Amino acid sequence: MTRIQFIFYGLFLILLALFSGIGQIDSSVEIIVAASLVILVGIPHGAVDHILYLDGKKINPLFFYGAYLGLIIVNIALWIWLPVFSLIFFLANSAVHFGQSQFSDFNKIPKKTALILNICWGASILLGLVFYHFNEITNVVSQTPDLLPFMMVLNRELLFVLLLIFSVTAITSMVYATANKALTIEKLMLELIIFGLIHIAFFLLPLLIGFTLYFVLLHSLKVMLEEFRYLRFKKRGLSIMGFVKMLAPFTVLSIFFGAVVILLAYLGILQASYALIFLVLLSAITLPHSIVMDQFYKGVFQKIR
Amino acid sequence: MFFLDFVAIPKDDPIAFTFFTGYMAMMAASVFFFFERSRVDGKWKLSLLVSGLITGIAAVHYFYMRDYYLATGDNPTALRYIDWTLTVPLMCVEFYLLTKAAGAKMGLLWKLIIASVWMLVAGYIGEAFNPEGGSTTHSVLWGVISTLGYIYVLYAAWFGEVAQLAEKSQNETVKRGVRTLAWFVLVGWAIYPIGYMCMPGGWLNTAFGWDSSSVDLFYNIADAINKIGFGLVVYYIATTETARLKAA
Repeated sequence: MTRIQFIFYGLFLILLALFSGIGQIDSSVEIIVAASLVILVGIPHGAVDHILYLDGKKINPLFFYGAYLGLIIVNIALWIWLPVFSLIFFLANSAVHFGQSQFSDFNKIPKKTALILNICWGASILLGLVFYHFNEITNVVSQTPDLLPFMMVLNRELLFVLLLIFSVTAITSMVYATANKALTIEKLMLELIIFGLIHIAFFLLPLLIGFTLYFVLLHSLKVMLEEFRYLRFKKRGLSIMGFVKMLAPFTVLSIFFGAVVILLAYLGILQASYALIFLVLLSAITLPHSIVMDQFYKGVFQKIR
Repeated sequence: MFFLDFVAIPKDDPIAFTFFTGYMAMMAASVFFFFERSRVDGKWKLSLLVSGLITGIAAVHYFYMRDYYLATGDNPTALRYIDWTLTVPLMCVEFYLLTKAAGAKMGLLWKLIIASVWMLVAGYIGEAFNPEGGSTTHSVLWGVISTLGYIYVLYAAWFGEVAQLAEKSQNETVKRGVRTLAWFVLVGWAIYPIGYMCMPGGWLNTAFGWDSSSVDLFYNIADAINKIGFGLVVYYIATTETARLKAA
């Protein structure tokens, strides 16, 4: 078990006990807690994409920044043009990205198995999140005019079937990888426990709290530690403060840009609900980030596994 | 004489069944550990003695819990916590004994004992002193306090002093054994909070209607696996190391 998984387990137990006593919390409190943690940990984990991608490559940085921004703009345009497709694409992309980061330490899993495992694992937890909070999500979507097009993907029976298929396939892939000695039995047990705990956390805890617990600890913090490990490998003597300084510029820029967009919505200049803006912004930065991380995991990360 | 008393086990009562089997299994495990003690090297005799004491104490308590349950149909909460207050710290003593050769100090032993007693005392207050009808606030408060003790023991076994000492021992059998015991703490001991949450006012009780009549079943099965399993891991380490020493 890694320390991050231990912290997740410990926090899960404490939060479970707390929320069982508190019951429902105000949605604004949920949003504030989730947003704070996402800003502190979630956004920074993507703030060194430029360093990771450009490392060892003879590419003009301006070309990279242009391509990164270009992907963000194309993504936003796609949301305006094909919102339902964009939502499904965003969820699928996130699923692959979450799965890839979860199993990044296991380099012996055959490529095809790894691909199936990554997709199914990520899809399972995302579908679980939506399925367990189906009523709440349907309520929000049905009461927000610019989210109404997404009602067509909210089908409880379909979600359940997909959840089942992806979950079973993810578990089967893990067992298959273990049978082929790509995972030890102990690692398999730990991954199954974590997989189960994530689902239980998503089921029992309020939507944003459960997701933030997973996203901040098991995903963002884990990825940041991997980034730090790699950058320290490249630049001996890199301290945590040095790493924070590397993360700072694009973290601040992302937060600033996000704040400007929210301000425009607040002032009525941007005619969109906060929920849609959040989805679009998140999707926009996830696409280029997931591409960079895919390159990272398949390339230079191999050196320090 | 109590040995001649006829005790009827209801056919449809799995809890009564597990009280009986738990009592006999613990007693058999104690006899086994005590007898096997003579076959292991000197430095492992104390560990096997402790394993035998854990299951022996549990056997005696299960004997009384069995009678209490059959007579009243109630959870023998007090007896259970008395049992745990003695046996769980003894399980922590096993961690100390296994890592003693690698430099474990008395301080580690005391820390583990205090954490385990903290966990149990807080759990007992949460369960036994719950207001009539069950108070979720009371249950949750003492549940959180108890969990802190559990988290400390879990941390020590996986990352803290116990894990570090096992690694320092350079002994594969001890490393594997301590890791297996850490798994017991992670998975095996997690069953107890589930039972706790089924008590009146507990979260599983209020959210899903799971009641405390199921709790004893969880506890009986968990106790048998955790205590006997724990002892068997220690037995494995003791016999493997004894064989290694004899071969050397």
